[in-house]
Amino acid sequence: MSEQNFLHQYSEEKYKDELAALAKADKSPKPENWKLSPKAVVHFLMGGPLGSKVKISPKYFGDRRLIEVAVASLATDRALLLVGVPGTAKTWVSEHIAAAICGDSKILVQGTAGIMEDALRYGWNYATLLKDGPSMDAIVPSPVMYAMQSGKIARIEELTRIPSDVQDSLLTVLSEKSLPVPELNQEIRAVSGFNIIATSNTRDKGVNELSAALQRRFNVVELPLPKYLKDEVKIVQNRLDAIKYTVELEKNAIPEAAVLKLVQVFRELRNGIVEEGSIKLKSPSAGLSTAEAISVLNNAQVLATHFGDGVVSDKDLAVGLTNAVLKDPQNDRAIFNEYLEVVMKNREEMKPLYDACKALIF
Amino acid sequence: MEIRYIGIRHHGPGSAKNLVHLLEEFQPDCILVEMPYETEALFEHIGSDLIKPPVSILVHDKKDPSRVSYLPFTIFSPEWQAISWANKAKKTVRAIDLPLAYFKASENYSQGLLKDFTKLKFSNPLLKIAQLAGFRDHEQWWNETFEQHTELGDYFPLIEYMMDNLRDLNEPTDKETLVREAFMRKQIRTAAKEPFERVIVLVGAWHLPAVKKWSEWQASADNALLKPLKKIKVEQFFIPWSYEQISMSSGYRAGVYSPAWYEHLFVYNEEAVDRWLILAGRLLRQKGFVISPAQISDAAILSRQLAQMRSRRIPGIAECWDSIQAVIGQGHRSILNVVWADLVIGKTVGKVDKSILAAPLFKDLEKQLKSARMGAVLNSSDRIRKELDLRKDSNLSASRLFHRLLILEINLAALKQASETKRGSFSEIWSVKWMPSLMIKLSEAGVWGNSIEIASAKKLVAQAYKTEDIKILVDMLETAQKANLSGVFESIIDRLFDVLVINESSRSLLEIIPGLVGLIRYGDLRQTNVSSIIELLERLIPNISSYLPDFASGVSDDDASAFTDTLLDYNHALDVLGNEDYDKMFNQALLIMIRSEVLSAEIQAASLRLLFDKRVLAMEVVAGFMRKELNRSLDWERTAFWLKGFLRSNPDLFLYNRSFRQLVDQWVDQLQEEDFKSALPTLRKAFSGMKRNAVSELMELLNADPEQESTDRELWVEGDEKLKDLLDFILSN
Repeated sequence: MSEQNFLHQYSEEKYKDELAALAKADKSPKPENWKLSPKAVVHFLMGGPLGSKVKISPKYFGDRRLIEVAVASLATDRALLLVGVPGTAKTWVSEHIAAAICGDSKILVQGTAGIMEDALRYGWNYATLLKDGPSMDAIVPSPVMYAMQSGKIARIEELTRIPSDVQDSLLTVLSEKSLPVPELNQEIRAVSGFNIIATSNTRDKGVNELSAALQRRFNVVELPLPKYLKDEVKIVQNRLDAIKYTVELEKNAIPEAAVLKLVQVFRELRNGIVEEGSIKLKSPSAGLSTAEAISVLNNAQVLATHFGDGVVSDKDLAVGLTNAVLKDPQNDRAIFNEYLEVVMKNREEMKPLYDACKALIF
Repeated sequence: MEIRYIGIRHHGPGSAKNLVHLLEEFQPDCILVEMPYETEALFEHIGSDLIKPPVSILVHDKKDPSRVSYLPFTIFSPEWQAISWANKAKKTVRAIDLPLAYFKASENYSQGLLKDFTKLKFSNPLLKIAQLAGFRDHEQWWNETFEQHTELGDYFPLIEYMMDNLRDLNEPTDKETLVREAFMRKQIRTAAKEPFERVIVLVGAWHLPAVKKWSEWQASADNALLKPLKKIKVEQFFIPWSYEQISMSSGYRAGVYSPAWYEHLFVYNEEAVDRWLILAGRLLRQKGFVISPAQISDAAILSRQLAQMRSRRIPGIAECWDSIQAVIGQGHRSILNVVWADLVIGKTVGKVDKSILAAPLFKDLEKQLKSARMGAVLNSSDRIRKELDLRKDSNLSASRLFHRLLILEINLAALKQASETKRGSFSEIWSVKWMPSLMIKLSEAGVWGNSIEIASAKKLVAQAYKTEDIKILVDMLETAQKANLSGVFESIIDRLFDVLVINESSRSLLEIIPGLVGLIRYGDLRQTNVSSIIELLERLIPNISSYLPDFASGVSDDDASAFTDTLLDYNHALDVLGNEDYDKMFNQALLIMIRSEVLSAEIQAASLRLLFDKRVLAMEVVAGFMRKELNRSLDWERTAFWLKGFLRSNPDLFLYNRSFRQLVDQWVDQLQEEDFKSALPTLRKAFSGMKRNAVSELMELLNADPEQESTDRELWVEGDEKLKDLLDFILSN
């Protein structure tokens, strides 16, 4: 297949060179069937110089500790559950860890409320089933089964959206490392290297809580929202650079000041307190995660390119910002207005953004 | 003679373990330890059954016990291990550091605490090495490199080599270090002349280079350095210490100063990490978490994997914590906070046998606690809640003991909640927690006397003679009563009589009466002799009553509220005394006050009300005064304050007195709308003492009143509306 520009590039494709360089330099012991040692996997995620020539780009901007625990968990044969509020890079982290460990981040199950057992175990090819009767040949493997057979990492997104009875089919997979096929009186045994990275959203807590038995099989790592403003600005900038656009956009279309401004507004509304810590605020119903800030800026960039002069203006920001904040028209409006009047209005650098927001909603 | 020099960190499990191994191998017949010279006298107890670490040697100035140094030991202190090894093997062991007696005499010794033996002495040069190794601080680096071991290793030559080079770069110039090292060299010289075969010199790593080359230094130069030092008399003894104390005094930093963790490393060797995680599991179970052994072993495996990834030899606290968090805590750190103190710092408290305990006040405290059946307090570092019923003898004596300790500023027990009334109830709730640092306080308090009773009495009397404030003196009387220091009671009263002269016309006189009366009232419960207080009152009260109108007229409007309260308290105190003569004098003063032209309205009204309540003035007379006040031009502001004063003692008066109610009603009625609004805040305060249901009741009465009133019906209704507005306002706020 010829080289195509896909909207999303998998980590192992995008960072092919980095992964190759890490593998080459990797001297630490590797668990069986891992492409990199745990140390190198953490290096891939956190970035940093490799030797004197190569520089690994950082993928995760939070606490190194968390990534170390996550990777160590996978190396000890316990499955990994990444939890956090929406937009804390759970999927992002899971994809890159999988890519670094087994060179394949595509073995993926998207958890939904309507998911069936087939998606975690196996299905049947009914044509073969009817023709030849049940046999291993008639089985259609799920991503989990495929990962077991190939000694790779399976990723399960939004584990807690999956109904509990379906979740439980993971039990034998994780404890016995095998998948029984009762119809054939056989089992599929996991090749070493197999493991599962699941993600779950703390906002979904209580929807389909993991059973105690299943909980036991997972080590849990909670990914927090960025603690400091400068970290969050770095994350946003990094992600913006990485996004591919349908139309090639001008480089540096988003001034750094705009990123800083928007991220600060998001943080202040989310945390219910201004960065200086002097004024307490009410938080709107929207989550206002880092991911949303990225999407607002991305939007602004597209607006500016197609309908403006190419450089993101406060008006472009205001459109996305008000849309992101005003999820509940009544309450959020009052909360946002208070923020505009009490905080934004009094900040020299935010005055134009204040005017633009006011013009939009009032 | 072979001499080996060993550089250590005070409290290091790795150093301690390797040292013990070295001692076994080398079998020295003499050990020289960097400890203040005079502490050698206490060495014989180390390693014996009389003492169980953590303990501390406490050294204080004999004349001024508040000048204290302490030298804590743990089981994993290299010095402790070396001295107990020598004691067991019956070998010579000597303290070679400068006597604390010298330090204490030196001029730069003023803050009380000479030096903290628990800290490393080489912050800056070592920090550079630590940073090169990728650590943020040198303690963490030292910990990781030399102390965090479960196995033996030959690190002493490494430390020696490193220190040789560091000292070359940073030769210390401070006098303290120079003098101490000179003294240590002097001691080594002495030992070298004796017929020992194998000598160990054990010093803090930083001193190693200066000490081991003793032969290259001139003895005369060292002696010259030591000669000008002055000496004072000191006393030293062992006191029990705690891990909590050790981690506090060292400025706790994660993974570095964690006594319970260190103890595990020292005691359990290669099993330390697993044992520690098992302990974590047990502690969490005690807190109600369900934790299976399988989870603990999962955490142990994860911690090893993490240690490997982080290039640590063995998992440290950070790796164990991260593992517990991921395996058991579902990613949350909060689970760890529950057991942090128990697990990292530990609750261990040391023991020192009575036979060698030297602080007399501690012995007394132990005795007193025992007789109050609370001896167990001293063996635990938990906070205990004690409810004392003062009618029981043992409880009463515990209460007295605690109050005495408070006088001495020994915070063994904090009074949680005095009873509802000031001294009224029979119970006291105390929060009791023994901390070994209190030993220092006990030793300091020793200046006042050899028993807690004598010491607290002397200190209180001394304080009494430092103040001229009669209010403070009355508070002290109360303290003396609670602490049952009867002799002191007399002394403070003597002092009170002394200072009365300068307080003759002071308002404070008025303010101390309720306190004094309280002392009489609860004298029975506290079993105090109150006759001298009665005598004091006999002198004070006639005086006060004659000065009262003067006091009152000197009060500014801003202060009127406070004075009104004082006046009511005074009245209440006289009520309790029930002395007719006193009452008469007071009434006379009040009668003068209500006719005064210069008194603030609030005080005047309160006085009038008192005379009404005491039935000195009939209702008609009081109503007359009231009418006069309410008709007094249109000074609504003054009137509002007047009402406030009038209602102060009991705001429900209008509920049962119709005449007063109507008078006020009329006044409110004739107020201009604007004035009414302006007067609202003060009026609200005037009525604020009323309960909500009383206000509602008053509303109902006002609604009912017009029917019974024949004249001026319309006026009433209109007036009612306004008063009701006021009440509405009160209810809605």
